[in-house]
Amino acid sequence: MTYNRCVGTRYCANACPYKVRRFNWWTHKWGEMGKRLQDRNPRALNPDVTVRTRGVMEKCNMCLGRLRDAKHQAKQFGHEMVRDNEVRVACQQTCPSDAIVFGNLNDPNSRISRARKDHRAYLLLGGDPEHGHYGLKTLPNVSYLADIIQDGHTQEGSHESGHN
Amino acid sequence: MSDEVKWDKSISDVNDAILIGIDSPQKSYYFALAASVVCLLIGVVAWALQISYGMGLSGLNSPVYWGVYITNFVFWVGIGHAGTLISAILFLFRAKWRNSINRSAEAMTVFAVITAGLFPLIHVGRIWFAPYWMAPLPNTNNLWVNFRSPLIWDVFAISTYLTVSLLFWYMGLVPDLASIRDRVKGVRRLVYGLMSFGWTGSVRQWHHYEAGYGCRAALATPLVLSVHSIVSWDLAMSIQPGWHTTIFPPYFVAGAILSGCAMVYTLVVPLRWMFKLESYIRPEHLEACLKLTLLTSTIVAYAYGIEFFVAWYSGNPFEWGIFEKRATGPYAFYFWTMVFCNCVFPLLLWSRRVRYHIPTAYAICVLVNIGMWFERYNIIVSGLVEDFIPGSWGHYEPSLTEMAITVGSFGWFFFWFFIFCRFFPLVSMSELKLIMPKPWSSDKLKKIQGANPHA
Repeated sequence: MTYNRCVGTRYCANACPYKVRRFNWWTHKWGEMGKRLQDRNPRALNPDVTVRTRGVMEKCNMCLGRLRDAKHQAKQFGHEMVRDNEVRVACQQTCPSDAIVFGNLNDPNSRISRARKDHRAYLLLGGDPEHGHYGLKTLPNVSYLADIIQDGHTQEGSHESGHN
Repeated sequence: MSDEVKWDKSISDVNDAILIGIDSPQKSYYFALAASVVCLLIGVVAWALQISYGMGLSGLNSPVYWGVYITNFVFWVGIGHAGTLISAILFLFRAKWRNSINRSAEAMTVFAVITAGLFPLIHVGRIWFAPYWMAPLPNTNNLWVNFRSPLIWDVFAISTYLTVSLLFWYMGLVPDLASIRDRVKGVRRLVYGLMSFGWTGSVRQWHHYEAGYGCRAALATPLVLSVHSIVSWDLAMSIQPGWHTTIFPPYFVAGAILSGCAMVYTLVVPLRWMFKLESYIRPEHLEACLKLTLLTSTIVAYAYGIEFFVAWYSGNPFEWGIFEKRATGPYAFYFWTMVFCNCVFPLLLWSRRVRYHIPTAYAICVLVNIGMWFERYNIIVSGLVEDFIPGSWGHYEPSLTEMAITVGSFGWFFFWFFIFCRFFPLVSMSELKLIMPKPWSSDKLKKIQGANPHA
């Protein structure tokens, strides 16, 4: 989204079925963050991301700045596409249990492509109402892997949703 | 209808009786004006604080991003609709009873739409950009608004509605302004003269006036249906369960007319007393307004029922979940208040005795106003709190800032309304004369004190 064009009607947040959008209700106290000059200057916080003022909506942008960098680099090296491990998103980088996989779905051999094809993978609310799933056909780019819990009654595994 | 009206005055009394309120208002008028200014100031302070400190003061938070402000927006737009219905549609249908209350109903429309128009601005995060970014203005960056967004349709709907109602209302005022011009002197005469565009009341002028008034009425008629339909699309066009239903446009229009008729009654009864217009706004006229309230109340009741039926019949668990919780969950109080105020209490209006008993009917109309506010609150908030993913469910109650701004919006509305009462005739004198009896015979004239032979 374009932060500097947002007037904050919050319509997008209402319409978001995942409710992942967050609104800047207050002015952030950048000045109180640190004593050093670069800690007080909002533009020094992350040069890749536009500073959001109060009254602006925001959501995860999948580390757009990092993706751009990776794409430019791939182009410079003459690669056809961004490969695994050439880019890591921030949540993936900090996740202690390494539960987050990020990569290029256009690359059939990437880790994410293989994980998404796994029979445990499902799309949250992404199901197809025509086939009896009460999803919204949002076709999200985020997929989760279901937990497999051993069911005492039927020897087979039954699926139960869980975060992975 | 007006044939049954028992008039105790004739057309020769109209100008004097109605314009006396402009020359020397009652004490109660000043009291009411002062009260509205106090309310307005409360709202102004709350808005100023909200702009200075941020939208956080509004108490909204995920998942409820729309709350009292949008409720107020829909409420005030709805209030306006009955004014247009009474002034335009009933004019085309030649319903005579409208002639005594149409001026106040039109003024109500204009001020209600102006009040409603404030709420999107109060609601947005960046008020310092919103007013001109929301307008499709050509600019050097070649940036345009998103024409696929219902919020932009709203901008067009509301601005069209305001323009048309303002013109319609003003055109009806012109002959009356000329009547005031002829009575006053000095600067006031000049001002009223300019405002009445040199109206002389010649046959030729009346001929053009009648044609123009009819055209404007025809132009305003579709807006009664379209504006609130578009407002309902703000909700219905999203995929939110509880909002995403096709019944919304007719349901909102019926609700708008219900709340508007109740508001006309709520306004006209005290003004009639304050400006001593009992001989001109007759109980029969008020009763006709109540009949319209009753009719729209039954339509709204039907819409509530159908909405529930469709939510159940669709078999969509999200949709049904919302509706189930609406009636039994944490917002059940709002829901049942809405049902009782909008559908149950107005049923008393089937009784002719209740319709003619002004205090009872007044109480019912005030309850309908409350109920209609609750209806919008109920739709907007309960549709947002608990939707698809239980992990993101939440709860919301109005905050102090929001309530203060709501009080302020009533202050703003009544402030303009009272200013209007002070400078413009509250009853359309030229139209009232069309439905009132001709001057009495000389026998009867002797009995009536204060009849003006020159009028």
